[in-house]
Amino acid sequence: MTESKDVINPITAKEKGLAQCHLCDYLVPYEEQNPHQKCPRCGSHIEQRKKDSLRRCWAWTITSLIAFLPANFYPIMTILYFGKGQPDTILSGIFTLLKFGMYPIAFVVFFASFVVPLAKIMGLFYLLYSFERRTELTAKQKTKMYRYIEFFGRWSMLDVFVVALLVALVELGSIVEIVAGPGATAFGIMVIITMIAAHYLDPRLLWDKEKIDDSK
Amino acid sequence: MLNKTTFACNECDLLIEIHDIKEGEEATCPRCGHHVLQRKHDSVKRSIAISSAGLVLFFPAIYLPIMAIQAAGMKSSASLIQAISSLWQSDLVFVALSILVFCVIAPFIKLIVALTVNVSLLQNRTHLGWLKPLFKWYHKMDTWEMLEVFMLGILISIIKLKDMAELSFDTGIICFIFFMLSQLFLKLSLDKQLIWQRLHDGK
Repeated sequence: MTESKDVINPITAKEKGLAQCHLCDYLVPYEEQNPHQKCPRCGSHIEQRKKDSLRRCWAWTITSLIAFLPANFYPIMTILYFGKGQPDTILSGIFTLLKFGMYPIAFVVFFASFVVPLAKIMGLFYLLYSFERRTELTAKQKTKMYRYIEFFGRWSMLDVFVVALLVALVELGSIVEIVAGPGATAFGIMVIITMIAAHYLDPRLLWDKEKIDDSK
Repeated sequence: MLNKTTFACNECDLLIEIHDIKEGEEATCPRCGHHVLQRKHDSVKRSIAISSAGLVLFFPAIYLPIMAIQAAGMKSSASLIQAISSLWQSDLVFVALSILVFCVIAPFIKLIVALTVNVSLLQNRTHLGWLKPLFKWYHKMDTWEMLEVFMLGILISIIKLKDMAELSFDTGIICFIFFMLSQLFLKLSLDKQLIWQRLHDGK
């Protein structure tokens, strides 16, 4: 499909007084006076833009930044050789991998568990900030950014899944055992919070904002 | 009234007229590039085949051991369910529950719903009132199903363990791989718009 650079005279559903169901994509005339409008096709709640999108996204993004700290400082697991061992956090686990020369896997874990969540939180902050000030990126670029944030979110659960498998698998009596730490809970919570934060941001608002800026 | 060929882009709200879109084609938003509408090939029959295959694989995929390790004469193996229960026993209840939802419950609901709805479509029983609320569950579970992430988790565990102990694999991992693939192919074959349209017309 070709993507033309500019759509001449773009008309949005909102400008036509229409709203599309967020779940089944049914297009209906929007009843502004009716706060309980339901989709005639699937029965979901109808709204033109996600309710309180920016305020909720701010709240959840700040929460996820706070949750990022315990997720990285608490030990995620401990490898016990003959009952002894040093607890590993996400980052120290990556250093251990590097020490044993497992570079590709250290990179994957570093990327999925550290870079992606942090980039996601920073990206959300940038998108939220862009509503306050005029920024250099166009709405199209910001939408693309939002799409990546949404897509990569789930992949951060990777380390939690690895810990789950290792804990169940490595139970060889007193020789070697792997025990999960509180960091696993903190990390899982952080990933879920960032997913919720991304969910609340309505990308259509980026385009609304750009239109207002351009007409100024 | 509204023409059914009009769609609004879910990411930029642009109104788009889509005419004559054939099976296997997709329509992209000219302004932001979002995939507005995707028509799938032979969606109903393919989805039935894939979701029933997925359901057959469901129990072996979660109960059979995915892999086993051997060191110093001792052997230990783990399945998806065992991983969840050992997290539960080590008091990581939240992590255990989230894996249960992401890797067991969400994929299971998606398969059951896809099978039921598509079979009803095939038999032209689209008037049934409970089909619409049922199909909404497919949408709700879509965000939280993470089997492909768990698959990458298996691969990373293998690499981490391969120097530490002797690893062996059984039928469990094959079942899990195909179970995960059934979810991927279901995503590629299920035509949500077709289903919503037919459920609505059948009323």
